[in-house]
Amino acid sequence: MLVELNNTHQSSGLQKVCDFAIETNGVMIKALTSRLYSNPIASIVRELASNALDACRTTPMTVRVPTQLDPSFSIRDHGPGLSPQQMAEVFTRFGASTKRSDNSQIGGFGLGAKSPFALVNSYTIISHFEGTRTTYMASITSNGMPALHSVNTRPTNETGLEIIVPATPTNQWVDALSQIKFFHPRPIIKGCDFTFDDPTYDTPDYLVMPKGNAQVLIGPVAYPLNVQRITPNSVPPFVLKFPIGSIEVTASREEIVYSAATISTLKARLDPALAHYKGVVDHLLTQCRTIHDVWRLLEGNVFNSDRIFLAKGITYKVSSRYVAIPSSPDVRQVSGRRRKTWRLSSLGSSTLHLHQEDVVYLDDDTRKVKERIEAHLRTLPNVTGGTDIYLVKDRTHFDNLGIPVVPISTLPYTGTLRASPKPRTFRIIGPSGKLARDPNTAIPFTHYIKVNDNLEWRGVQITSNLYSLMQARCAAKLAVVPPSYRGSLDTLQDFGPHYDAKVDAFWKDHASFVKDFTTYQGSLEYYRRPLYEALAELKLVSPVPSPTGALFSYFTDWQDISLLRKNLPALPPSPNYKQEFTNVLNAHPHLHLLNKCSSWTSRDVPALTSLIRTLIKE
Amino acid sequence: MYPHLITDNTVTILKDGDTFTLTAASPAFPQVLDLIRENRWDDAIHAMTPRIAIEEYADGSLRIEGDTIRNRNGDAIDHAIIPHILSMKAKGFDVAPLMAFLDKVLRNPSMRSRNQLWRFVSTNSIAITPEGDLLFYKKVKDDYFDVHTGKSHRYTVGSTHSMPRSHVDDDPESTCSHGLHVCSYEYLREFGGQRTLLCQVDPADVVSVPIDYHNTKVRVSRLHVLREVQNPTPFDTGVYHNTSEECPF
Repeated sequence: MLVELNNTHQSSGLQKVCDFAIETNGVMIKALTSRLYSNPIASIVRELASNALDACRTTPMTVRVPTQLDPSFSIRDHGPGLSPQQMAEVFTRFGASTKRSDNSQIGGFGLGAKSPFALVNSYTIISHFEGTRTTYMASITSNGMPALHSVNTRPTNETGLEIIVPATPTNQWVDALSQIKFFHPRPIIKGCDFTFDDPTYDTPDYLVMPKGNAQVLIGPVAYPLNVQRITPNSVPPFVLKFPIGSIEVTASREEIVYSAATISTLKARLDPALAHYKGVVDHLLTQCRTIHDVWRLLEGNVFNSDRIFLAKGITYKVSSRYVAIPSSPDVRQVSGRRRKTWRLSSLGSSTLHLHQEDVVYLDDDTRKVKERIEAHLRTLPNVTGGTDIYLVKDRTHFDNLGIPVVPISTLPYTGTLRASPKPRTFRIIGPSGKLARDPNTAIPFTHYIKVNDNLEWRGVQITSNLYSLMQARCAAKLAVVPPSYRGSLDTLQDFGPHYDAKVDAFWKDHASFVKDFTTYQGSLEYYRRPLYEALAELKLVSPVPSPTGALFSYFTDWQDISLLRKNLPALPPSPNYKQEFTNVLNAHPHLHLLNKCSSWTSRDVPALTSLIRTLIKE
Repeated sequence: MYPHLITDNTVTILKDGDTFTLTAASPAFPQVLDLIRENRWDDAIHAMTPRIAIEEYADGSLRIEGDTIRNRNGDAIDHAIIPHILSMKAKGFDVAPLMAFLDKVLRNPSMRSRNQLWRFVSTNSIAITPEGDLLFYKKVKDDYFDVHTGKSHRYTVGSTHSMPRSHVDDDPESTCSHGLHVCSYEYLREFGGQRTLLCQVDPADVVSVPIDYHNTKVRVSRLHVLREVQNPTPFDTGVYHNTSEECPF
């Protein structure tokens, strides 16, 4: 690193008393070693590896991280080694460096070779120089001053320097290797599995990595880039390349000095790099033939911005991670597969974000679906915990996009099939109260409801609230009873899975409001309930909703009974309680005062009723 | 005497130009200093080199090939055990319980469970019995019933409890699930219940180590209640003779 010291210093009429100097003592040494680095392990790896690279740029160095079996860190380079004079004059001298004259070398502060003192009080240096292998030990002596001891010499035919630092095996040593991952030639790493990621795109000015954070590469050393100092936007894993010396680093060389000049230099490099790479990606996109190709291209691409494509007249949003498929009520997702509680849940109106690894099945068969899908998944190579499984009724979108869809009907059955039990037939009691046959008896129903006093459905006790709710929804007395039922029709209390998407959507919208109204959740809405009840008494708003909030969670489990739904009369519109409440308050500004009070109780309802009556008359 | 250097946090010995070095974090550090003081230089070097120290201590039961530790049958043993071997060697424990422990770990029928057990070993001290079983704590209610249901298991002293292995959740990501739960000292305060029991668990019966709470909780399929503990203390790696007077429990 080129270090130029030509500060302006013009003076006149001043008499120089003395020069400042640095006292050489244990405290000063401590400040320059253990107190210099905030992350000693990373610094030792970076500093010693940088020195090794400066020593030899042709043969790769060997870096061995400590393991349980070999608890020491070592770096071996294949440079010329150091002579005893160099050891004495440079290696042991703080601030001494031979690398300040030019920018081809990384070092220059004269601190790096001493960095192991930040962690331990002694380390070993083995220098193979001109046929002699000399072992040195550097240590902090009792007064805090470091000293170098020569221990042993013997002839050798190797060259180079090896530094051995006693160390405890931790993951920090492996993490520290990330700073030297751009070294060329690539260091040989021993003692751990470390893979060098190849950049996905390489130019003289910048690199694009497949993952990670933005970095600055000064010479071969990578530094994290504090993006917030440069730009408010998020930056993909770009590595900006700079020659040594063009960006200032701190004396510990742990990070960049974010001076105004540096920030503008970084900015001047980052923005064109982003624009250039975006152009490269756009060019590649024009060569794609299908959206599936686009998806493949964008996968692992650092630009996460969504792109909109048109296929067969429908627009699809494609990002690097997923394709957004417009919402469709027929899509069901398998959940709980890893916990062995296989369940199909409807996606409802949410957009399906399909990832590369997801598997889509065409929902065209109902028998042994779980077993057949699981068996099929086991044959697929890329199924992981992150794989989502979808069942779709309509394959149009997937065909448009060229995404494969597996029809369940084509999947083989697994194991032996039991003979089907005798199909259960159910009778429907129509609005007239007489028993009616199911018009589609050809296909038997697959579920039935137990009929008894404590009405139970799927292990859930269904209360009479559900009864009244169902009456309101269906406006008809409908029942699904087993053929063995011989009881009186008058006592029938039954609620099959009369699922209706519209009703469901409505209840979902108002679920929280109704829930707050009807439960003691400590919400503000709860305290407004007496006011609402008073308004309902005066027929200004719809009757108070019954306390059904606790039952909402079961609605989604209801079966699709499309056969049954055909026979249902149209649904009466359900009141929008919240809207009505707001409307009344807006129509009668006086009532806002009442709404401001949050401590009404149910005992206040009669008083409120008469009060509101008076207020409205006025 | 070999050339050597001892500082506050390192010890380095040179023998024929080869460097042997150790930090104070190693369990062998005090032992090495003692050996140097007694002028037993080769012994000190052996104690400093985990490869030699392990092979010496195991006395033929373990051998190290490259970076792999293998037992007599040639089964690979995870590196997580190394600090424990060195620590037990330094404390002067007999090697047999440790070897029994390793055999029992390898007898665990599930690779998934074994890997989770190694993860437990890498972050916790292991307290073992002379038979090589692991010691754990367990909290129970005042009436010795289990904390979760309060009625399914009554953990009286001396009783053994088991459930089919297939009923124990082996997914480390399900942090609270089916299975008999035991824990190390660090987890005790997270565990509800009034009484603390000391339990003995065969490593082959360990099913999973949930990933939360720094691997301090363990789900097993079988456990034996040794005794009730009034003042639980943290475990230290070593062999505990439940019957002996020195037993800290």
